[in-house]
Amino acid sequence: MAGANDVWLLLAAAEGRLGAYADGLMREGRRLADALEGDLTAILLGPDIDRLEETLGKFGVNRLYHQRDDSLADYHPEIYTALLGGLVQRHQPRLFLSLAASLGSDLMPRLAAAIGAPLVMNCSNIETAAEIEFTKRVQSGRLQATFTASGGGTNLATLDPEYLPDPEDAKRDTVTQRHEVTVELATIPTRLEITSRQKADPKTVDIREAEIVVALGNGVGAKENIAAYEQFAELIGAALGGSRPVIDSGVLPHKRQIGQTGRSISARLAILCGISGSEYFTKGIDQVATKIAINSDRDAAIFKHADLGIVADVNTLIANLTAHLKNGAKRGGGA
Amino acid sequence: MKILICMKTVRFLHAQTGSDPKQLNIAPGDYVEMINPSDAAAIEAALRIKEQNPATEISIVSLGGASAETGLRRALAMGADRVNHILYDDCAALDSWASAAILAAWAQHKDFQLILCGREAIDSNAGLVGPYLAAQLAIPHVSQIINIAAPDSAGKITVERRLDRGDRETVECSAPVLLTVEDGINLPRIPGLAAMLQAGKRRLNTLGLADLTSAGASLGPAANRSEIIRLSRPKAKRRAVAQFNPVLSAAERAKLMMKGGGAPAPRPAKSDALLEGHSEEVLLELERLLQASGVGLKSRYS
Repeated sequence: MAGANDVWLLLAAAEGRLGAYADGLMREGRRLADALEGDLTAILLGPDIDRLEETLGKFGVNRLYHQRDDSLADYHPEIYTALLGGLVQRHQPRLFLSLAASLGSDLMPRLAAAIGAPLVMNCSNIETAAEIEFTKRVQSGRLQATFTASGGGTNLATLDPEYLPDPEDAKRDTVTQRHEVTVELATIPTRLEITSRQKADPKTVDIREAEIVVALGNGVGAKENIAAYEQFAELIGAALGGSRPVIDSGVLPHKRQIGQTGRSISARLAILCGISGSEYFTKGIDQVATKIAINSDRDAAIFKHADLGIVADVNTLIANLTAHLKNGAKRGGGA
Repeated sequence: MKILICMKTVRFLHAQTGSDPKQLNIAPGDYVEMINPSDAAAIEAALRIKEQNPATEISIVSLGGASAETGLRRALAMGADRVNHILYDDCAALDSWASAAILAAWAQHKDFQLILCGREAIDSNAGLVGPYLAAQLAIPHVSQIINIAAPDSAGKITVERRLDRGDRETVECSAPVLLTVEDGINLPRIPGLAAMLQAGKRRLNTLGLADLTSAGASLGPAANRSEIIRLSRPKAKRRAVAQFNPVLSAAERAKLMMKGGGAPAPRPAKSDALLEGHSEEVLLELERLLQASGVGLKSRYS
């Protein structure tokens, strides 16, 4: 059963998969649970995920609380607070952690107030000495402060994704026990009404926030070729970015530059077109989850960073790919 | 409508010019006192509501030592109607919960329809006073605000929030409500000299904790839930750093570097799949990877 030294995590799901940084969060949770000699419990609200227990088991998650309800896929602050507050108060874990993303930053202060627990936001590190010590950046990053919480009970913290451990293969073989939670959501009083959600428009979104990025390098060639990439980017809902030579040539505005003197992107997918892969550029794509590189030079450095490398003339390939995807979309749409 | 803005005059460390590493290289002149940027954005947002709705009354409250007065006078010069200074010299000893408790004790029963706070102070970076204040006043709270539509006649307030990855959300709620405002959503106005001089002559409404404590409620550090036990230099972000053998001479190390010997080991070619050409096979593989990454083609092209 749940114990007073347990570590709890709030996982987020998007489009049938665990959200970004879930593995880092689980790894960090497991480390703290080991240090505290407690169990690791994960909470997921919303639709189910394929083979979820198998994935969680690999990260050493002992227990999963899951409420399967489609309406929970979209975060509502008051419903989440009521639901999680009830769970946390019933089981009294030692630590309750979430990512310091939009959801966690909004939810955790509400939860802390609701259950009367201490909270430290945006932690870069949590250590378990005599007391649990939470470290975070203050003075906008010039200093860091270490906090302790008064009283025993549950401590809440959000974790800065930038400081989470690097992804590596999860090797544990914990058996994750699933507990279905069934809270009657309709009985939770709400004062806020979420009237609409707008997905970001890739054409105008800040490239640092973009989900899919098509990055152009010198290999793309003349300015006239850009139109084909704009079309391709629109087709797959991507934002266009470029390496420094492309930006300097004036094809794209400076705020679309990726790399050391530009911006760092954290897209889920980046398609790197005709980019050689200098270090100045690759500094800007460290955080990208999946990278596809297309370059005509078999020895281009960019292939070292790519999940899929394609040796081909990038202009031809993108033209063919655009045509292929359009056909496929028609096939799929007509079926 | 009555709007309240909770403002902090931050003591922001803008440089570290001191020579003593034990003092974290902080010299006394390294701090700058200013209105917290997201609080200034909140004041500006309120002033814009007032421009559309002249019947609006804008109050400011600031908890802090004597230095809070600078910020309050500037807020007056920007156009605030009333400013209130809760004088407390040892704010460093208060955590977010205790600070919110003091503000709540002051603000309750004053019938503010809209309370605005900045997203977080740039010196403590906690981002908690706003949500905690809403909880203690038992009013709804909406965070990450980038746009506030002036309330309609029924008191309904519509706001726009910033989510991750450039997404936005629209939320409706009725007054009273507390909003935490992002910085950079507007350009806070710079008061003119005449307004600054005039604001300098105005009397501030200054009160102490004793004025707020009623019915034996304990305000101050006793309400703390967390404390800072030490300050230190920030930990560097994770980054692969070249490791050199310290036994080698500088020349030998330079030679090694030129050969790439001292550099971090190059990542093994990650791409097991290195494809070539533009065949149908390559395109299919690409399509598969796009789909695996959740690229929603069909919805866009059906």
